[in-house]
Amino acid sequence: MKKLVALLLITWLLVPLIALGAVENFSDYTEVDPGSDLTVISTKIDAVSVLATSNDYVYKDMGAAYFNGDFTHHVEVYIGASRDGGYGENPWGLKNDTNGFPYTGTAVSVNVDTLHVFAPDEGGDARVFLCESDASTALSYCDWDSVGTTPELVYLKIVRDESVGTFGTIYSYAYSDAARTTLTATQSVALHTSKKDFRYVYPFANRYESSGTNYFSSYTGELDLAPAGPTASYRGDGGYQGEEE
Amino acid sequence: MKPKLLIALPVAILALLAGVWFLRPTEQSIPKTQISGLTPTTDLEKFEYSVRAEELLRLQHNEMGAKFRAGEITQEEWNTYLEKDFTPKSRKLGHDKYIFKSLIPIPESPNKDVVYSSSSPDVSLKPEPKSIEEMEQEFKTSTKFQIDLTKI
Repeated sequence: MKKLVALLLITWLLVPLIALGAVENFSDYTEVDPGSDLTVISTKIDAVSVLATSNDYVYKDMGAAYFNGDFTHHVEVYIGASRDGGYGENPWGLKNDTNGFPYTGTAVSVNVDTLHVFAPDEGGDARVFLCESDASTALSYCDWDSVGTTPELVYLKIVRDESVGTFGTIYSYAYSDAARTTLTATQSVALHTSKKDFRYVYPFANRYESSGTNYFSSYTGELDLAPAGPTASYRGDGGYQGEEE
Repeated sequence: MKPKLLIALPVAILALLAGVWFLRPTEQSIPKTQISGLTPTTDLEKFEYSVRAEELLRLQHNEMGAKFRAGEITQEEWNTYLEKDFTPKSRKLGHDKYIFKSLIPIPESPNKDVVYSSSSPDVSLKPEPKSIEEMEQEFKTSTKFQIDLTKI
């Protein structure tokens, strides 16, 4: 009887705890790869010579309004070279549709709501753009920084804190180490028009264009939607969600 | 006028003047930012202040991170620093930086009205103003403001 109780306790308590801090399994994600450019394994999405005109992306349906309120996500991105510069992948994105991240010529997907990170190579300069596309204003709002020299492996921490500013603020912290102790740059965008919920998470999306010959190589790895850590549940009003770690 | 009042009035005035003189702000009691008039007031200055403060916070974070990696501070001390110090300041400065940046008008080219023609091929162009991104890079190393991270 005791063994049975112990087994039940392990199943009910330990397994969810382990799952809480686990990285995402990309094998469970939906791959859209018309250019046959992607190799998806459980913890990594490898992109080789992705053409601008190839609408490649990987996503998962997390359920309606899954991403509501505050969140902290971890993800790593390897920013490789692009042929003509100014090009790379979106290693992280949230949307409410499964159409990928088409580029309209001036911004990404301005007619739909998105939050996303764009990580291009700009003539040897590795950059991280943190962007919000807002359907109400039909504008895209970005903040960016140089984070090293391509090829560069960047460890990101992306945070939305809805208690900062009118509609919340999103932050992207770029680190040079997996333990996230050496901060390279911080991007931030005060969010616009409303507090928005999202359903789909994209660990890879090409910034798809209708024409062009540019291409890039890169990879996304280790996406964690509920990382453990001291600031994972911090709220800007000084409070904490759930228990402190 | 009564003689008592004749004495009391000048004494009261002198005492008042002495009090004012005694309470005058001395150089040491004025924050340094006020001595040189460098309290950020315009949106551009507030943007510069936020960028520089965020950069100082990043450097402080990395110093603490190096101490943690070297074992000079414990996991608990590192976590406490992140929770109580770095994160709240970073959230505030990141938001402020974005807001003030968005309030700065995009610098206009002084050459926007220059007309090129074959009759004046040697028209000289004025230097282009710095972009907001270029300004932001410069502001990271600005020494214009005396920033005390403990007061943010």
